[in-house]
Amino acid sequence: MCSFQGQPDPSSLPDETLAAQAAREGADGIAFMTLMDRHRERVWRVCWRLMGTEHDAEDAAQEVFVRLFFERAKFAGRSRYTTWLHGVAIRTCLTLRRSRTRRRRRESVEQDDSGGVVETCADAQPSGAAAVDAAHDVQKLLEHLDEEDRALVIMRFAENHDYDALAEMFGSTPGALRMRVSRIREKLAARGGRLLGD
Amino acid sequence: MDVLDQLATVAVPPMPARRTFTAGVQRKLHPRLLAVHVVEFAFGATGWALVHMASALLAAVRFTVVGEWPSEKRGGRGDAS
Repeated sequence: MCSFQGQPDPSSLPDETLAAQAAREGADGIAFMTLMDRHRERVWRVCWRLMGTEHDAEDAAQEVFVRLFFERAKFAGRSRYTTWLHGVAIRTCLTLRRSRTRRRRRESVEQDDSGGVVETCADAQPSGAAAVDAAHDVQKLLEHLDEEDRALVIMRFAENHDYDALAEMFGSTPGALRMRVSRIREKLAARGGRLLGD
Repeated sequence: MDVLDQLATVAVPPMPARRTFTAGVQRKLHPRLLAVHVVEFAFGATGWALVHMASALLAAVRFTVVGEWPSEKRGGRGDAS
């Protein structure tokens, strides 16, 4: 399949080829736009799972593509493009969640001073998860974890990535991540007994 | 079933329309792109201006000391007379 000027149709090219092409293009380059179209759903899913609300997920997913654009020359092709993209998405969401938590803490201190009540991160119920009570309990439980541990659990169990891919995304080794997940399990079991048992 | 495996059962809501989403990305991207270009231009222009200013200053110092402007042509001065 060929487009005009004898160029191959971008939608038929693999991610890695498009990424190399995007590194040479400007902001409205066809390669980057094709990559964006191809991975929008994937990025949205990860952002929604990590951010917890649709509004925050949309903001995060847009931010991910902005970062992908500025960092497009950094993709060296050592891993699959989707793995690299997930790494960027995770880092972006973690940054946004941390700044959101800081902002909420600040607001809650201000509201406490004025006697108001503020919704905390753990109370914020993801709108899409309302139908699945057990899964919602687990999600609520995850709010008690460190941000990066929470992201690791979500990418492993909700998104079903293997440890090799996770190692690329989190800049660690598969063995270290297995250990970390088993420690997280222990932590959740200790806390979950209290939370899920209620 | 593992309690963590239940996470995979959570339904993800549909994403916003393509047009709205792309417009949002562009709204975020364009101001930053403009800022990057302005900074790059400022640094480039500053370097260029410094180089040209320095060569003019050096030429002025040389004129003060030696009494002649640097010329690329050897024996260029006074050839016309």
